[in-house]
Amino acid sequence: MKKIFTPVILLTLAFFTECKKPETKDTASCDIEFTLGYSKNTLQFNHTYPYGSGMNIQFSLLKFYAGNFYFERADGTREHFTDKYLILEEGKYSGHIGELKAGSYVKAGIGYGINQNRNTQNGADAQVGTDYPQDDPLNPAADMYWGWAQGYIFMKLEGRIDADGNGSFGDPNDILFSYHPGNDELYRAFEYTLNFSPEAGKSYTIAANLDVNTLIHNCDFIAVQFAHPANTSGNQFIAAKNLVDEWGNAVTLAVK
Amino acid sequence: MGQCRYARCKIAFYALFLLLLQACGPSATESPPQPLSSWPPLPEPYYNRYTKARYELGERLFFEKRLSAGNAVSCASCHKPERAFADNVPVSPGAGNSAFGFRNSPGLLNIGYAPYLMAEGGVPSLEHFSVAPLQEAAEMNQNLALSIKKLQADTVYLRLFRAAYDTLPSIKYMARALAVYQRYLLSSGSPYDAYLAGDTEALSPQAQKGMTLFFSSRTGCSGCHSGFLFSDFGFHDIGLSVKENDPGRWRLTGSESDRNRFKTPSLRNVALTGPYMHDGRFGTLEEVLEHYRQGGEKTPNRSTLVRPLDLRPDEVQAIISFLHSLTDTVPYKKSYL
Repeated sequence: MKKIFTPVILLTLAFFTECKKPETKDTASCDIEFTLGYSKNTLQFNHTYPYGSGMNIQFSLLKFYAGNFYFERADGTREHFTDKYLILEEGKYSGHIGELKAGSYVKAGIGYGINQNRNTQNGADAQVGTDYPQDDPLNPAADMYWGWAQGYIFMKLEGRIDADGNGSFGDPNDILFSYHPGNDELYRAFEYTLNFSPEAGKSYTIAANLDVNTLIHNCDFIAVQFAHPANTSGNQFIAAKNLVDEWGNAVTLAVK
Repeated sequence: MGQCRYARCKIAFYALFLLLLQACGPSATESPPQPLSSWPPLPEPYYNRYTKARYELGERLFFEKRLSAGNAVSCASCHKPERAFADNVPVSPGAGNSAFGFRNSPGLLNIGYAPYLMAEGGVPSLEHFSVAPLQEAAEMNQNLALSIKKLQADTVYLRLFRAAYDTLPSIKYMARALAVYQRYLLSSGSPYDAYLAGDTEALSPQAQKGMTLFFSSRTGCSGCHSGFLFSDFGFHDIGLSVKENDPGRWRLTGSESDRNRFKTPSLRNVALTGPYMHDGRFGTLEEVLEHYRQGGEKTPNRSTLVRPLDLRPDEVQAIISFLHSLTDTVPYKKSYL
């Protein structure tokens, strides 16, 4: 009896093993890489660019959240990467979006900032920022977090203006500017044209070209030099809104 | 003879009272420090309850200078235990640079009862808040990841984190331990509390007179400084001119009706926590009382309770004497030493 029993078990196992479908990957690995430009030039930090009428500008910091990506097919159906956030900053303007289903896409969406489901400004029920793992973009160690008001800083844009246009940035009339948009009303999501047909098992990088000159198109750094608005009133909010509203115009996407 | 018996009884009463207070004092025990019996229970989140190990870890972290740039300052540098966990300068300097904030360092005793933190009320809990000053440029000025790296290199912290949370040092549990420690910074043992407990001689006649004035509609002090912590935790414009471009609660809400409104601070231990006001503009309680006596400046949202007060100098001194009676008598002692 025992002699029969063992082969039966082995045969049964073999049957089920053969029945199991071989694993086939139906997704492609998808990264995004931002390239910073200023008009037709590559943007370099602490490099002088013309600004406004006869003035010069230098940028010292551009750091921002991009996330909640999606890819849309011609029939309007989407593949979402909800709750996926990247921090893009000098030395690392790229990151992994995720595994995207193979197919054909015509649009892509990007959120700039942290959407209100995750933003801790929404009270005690929100997940405490420090509860995220230390290397998570949402941990305050990423230095994109307001302790005093709770909530994330969606982007940091800092630099200085040579207001008299004499080439020196240290004159009394020259100014430093610091824009840190960061409340729910300043979260922005934009959709871009992107003809993208990823094949299963392959890796792709979305090239996001960010023209900082377009991004700051409606900013008046002379009038409002400091914009860290945690509320939705006053000049700081309007100035920050003028900045984040341009994400849609300032970025174009292509497949690398 | 009768007087002698009375004196003995009084000494015995005080001894008993002090013993009870010592039991409530801020030293780590297996069970959490208890607030005074007349106070409501201390709220505590289910996910970060008191244990002795957590309290001791939080306490050590609170005094840990390695959590700041250049190992220059600790939380306790600006929240000094001997000053009821406030600072004795208008605005405290940050670590590793010359940056200053723009607010006076508030006392931390009884902060576990606060329904929200910061002068504009933007932070909902100690767990949300406790690491905020660590990265602030004008405060401890060090990235949290670097702080953790320093702690992970210290075998004492490896042991303490293991005991408290069964984990390696991490940002999450550093925040939680600091929250536990600060939650249980409870004041106790003031002459005022002894008076409320039945010792009618705990307050001098002058302080008793001040207490009557304090709670009277004539001064309106208790209109905002109410309850067992002497704070309604509301936001009020008390007629202080705007300095350093600090718009108070407006900063958070953007509502014009919130401009220049700041959270009512507790008055417990107020004699120790000067300089006063959100920006430390007044050095003494006499200056504070003079501000209220004059009725403050005509700011847009000035509280109707702030108006000129017809107070004689002896009445002002009586109120100050009462405020001194809110000072704890149990000195703080580090439990891990």
